[in-house]
Amino acid sequence: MLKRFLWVIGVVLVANAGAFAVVVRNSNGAPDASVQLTEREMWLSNVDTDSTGMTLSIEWDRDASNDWFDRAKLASIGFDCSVDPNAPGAEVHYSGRALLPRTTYVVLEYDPNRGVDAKPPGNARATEPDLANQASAGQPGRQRVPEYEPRLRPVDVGNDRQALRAKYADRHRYIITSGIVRARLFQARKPFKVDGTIVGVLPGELYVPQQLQATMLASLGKIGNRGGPWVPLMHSPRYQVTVEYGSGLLPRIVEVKALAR
Amino acid sequence: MAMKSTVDAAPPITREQAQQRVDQVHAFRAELARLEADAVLILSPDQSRVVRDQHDRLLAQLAQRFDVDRTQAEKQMSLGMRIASLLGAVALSAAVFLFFYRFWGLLSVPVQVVLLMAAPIVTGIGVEVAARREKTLYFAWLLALVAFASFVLNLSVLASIFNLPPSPGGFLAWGIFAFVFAYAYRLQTLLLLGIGCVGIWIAAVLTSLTGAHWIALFLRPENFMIAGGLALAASAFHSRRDDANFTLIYRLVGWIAVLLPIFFLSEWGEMSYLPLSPITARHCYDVLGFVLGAGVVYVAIRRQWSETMNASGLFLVLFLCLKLFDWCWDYLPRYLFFLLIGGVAVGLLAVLQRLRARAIARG
Repeated sequence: MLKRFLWVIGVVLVANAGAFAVVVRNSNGAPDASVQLTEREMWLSNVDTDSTGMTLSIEWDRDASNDWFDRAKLASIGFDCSVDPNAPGAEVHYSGRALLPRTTYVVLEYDPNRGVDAKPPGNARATEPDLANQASAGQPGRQRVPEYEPRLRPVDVGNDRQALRAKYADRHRYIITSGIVRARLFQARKPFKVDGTIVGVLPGELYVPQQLQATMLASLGKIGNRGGPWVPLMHSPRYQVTVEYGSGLLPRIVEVKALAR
Repeated sequence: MAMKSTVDAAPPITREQAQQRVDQVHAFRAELARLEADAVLILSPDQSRVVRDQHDRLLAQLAQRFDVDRTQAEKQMSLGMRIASLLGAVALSAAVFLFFYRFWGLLSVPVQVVLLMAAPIVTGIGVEVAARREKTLYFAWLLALVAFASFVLNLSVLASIFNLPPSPGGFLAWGIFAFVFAYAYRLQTLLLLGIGCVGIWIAAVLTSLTGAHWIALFLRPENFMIAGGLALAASAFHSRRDDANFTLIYRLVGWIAVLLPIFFLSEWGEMSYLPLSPITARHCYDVLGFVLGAGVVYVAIRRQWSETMNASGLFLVLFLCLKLFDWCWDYLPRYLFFLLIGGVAVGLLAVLQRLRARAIARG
């Protein structure tokens, strides 16, 4: 019996110790980045009766220009872009293996002044709670309001983390995180082109520690949660979150503040 | 005529082997009764008594040692118990998951971690206690599945709490955990889970070695063929140790993992590692699908691997239908297409009948 028991305990302990080792290594040394984000970039993703845990998903501006993520950049992170997208056989080359997603470092720029001058669209005359209620009801055709859009946008990718940090030195403005990227072949109009896109950042969701959850819930007020990250934010952000990326690029939420509305 | 007790004399056997032995005794008794009724073979009263006593003793010993089913009614009850155990395991696992998620936000991180680690260990102790109390292992099996689910919960939630990115390492840990229970208590479902998890881990690691993100493992079907090959090697290893049940599971899973990717590779050649154009790779896998599928059916018939034969036969038929669809659907009238499929099915039936006849002739 003892032998079987030791095996079970051994497997559980080793697996958990492996996870803790990653966490400890991440918290050694100075944080790689520390940024203050708001509801615009950190969307509450699960609060319901079946789960009392709270997580926030990281959102970035998916419509931001990615002209910088071109064929050369894709090649620099390991994609096989040796075939000219306009050459014969390009479609075959870029149809399978070459398009498999890869893991690399993604630089996200946080611009706190983004959207300050933007005006809400014409129908934004309705009160904020109205808009939020419509949004959480999942009404189709809701326009995103620029001043409530995420202010994080990807600005670079690369396999050399040190080089990226040297280039983007401001640790309160630039987050370097692991991410999944993939290549896309555009053949809608000539000349054809290949570019890259950020599929996701790793991790994409951050756990809100128990001691910070009360502040988070209080900040949501009467409007409550917005019903999912697919619903655009239709009101001014209600909370601010300080996120620290450790030396191993694992993030953690260290502070939550309710914002005055 | 004194006969020695088979159980005492025989090498250690498993519960499945004991059940097979019980079934043999019942078959022998039924056949002997028929032979006596037809006056083909009539044992003397002494012989009858000796054989009956020997079998009664054997059945009693096997029942005491392994809790085997001695009658058809007991067998049906066992099936019901197996179904109930499975339902119980699924429901209890869901309860463990939902219970934790219902309360985890109310707990501090240290308490969460302690609970998460304790759950699989405590359930593991429960498996040992249950295995000592009942020989049929229904409760042990149920608890082992719950322990596995608890360990999955442990690592998944730990990753959530500390914001760890998803990693294939979790599958390796879950696989080893399942193997521990499978080998310690001879639990086939846990073996299946272990093979599945380790197979996914192998495919994920191989995928990440190519530079792609490991989550794209299903877009690299050949990796599963490698994992399947390893399962077949494990099957050969267990076969040498005369471990029939585990051999069968390894062999079946191994062949499924080898054959199934051919389905996808014969359609999407661009996902192959072969340094060929996608069309050529596709054609290569067309050929491989037929050759390997037929080869496995042939070997399975010869070696009487009924499960493997069923699986590979099913693969061959579905693969043939898929290829006929690819090749003929656009060119043939629909009635002709289905006539072709029917003709091929009849042809296959004839071939299999011939193989069966040959096998019977060989005895």
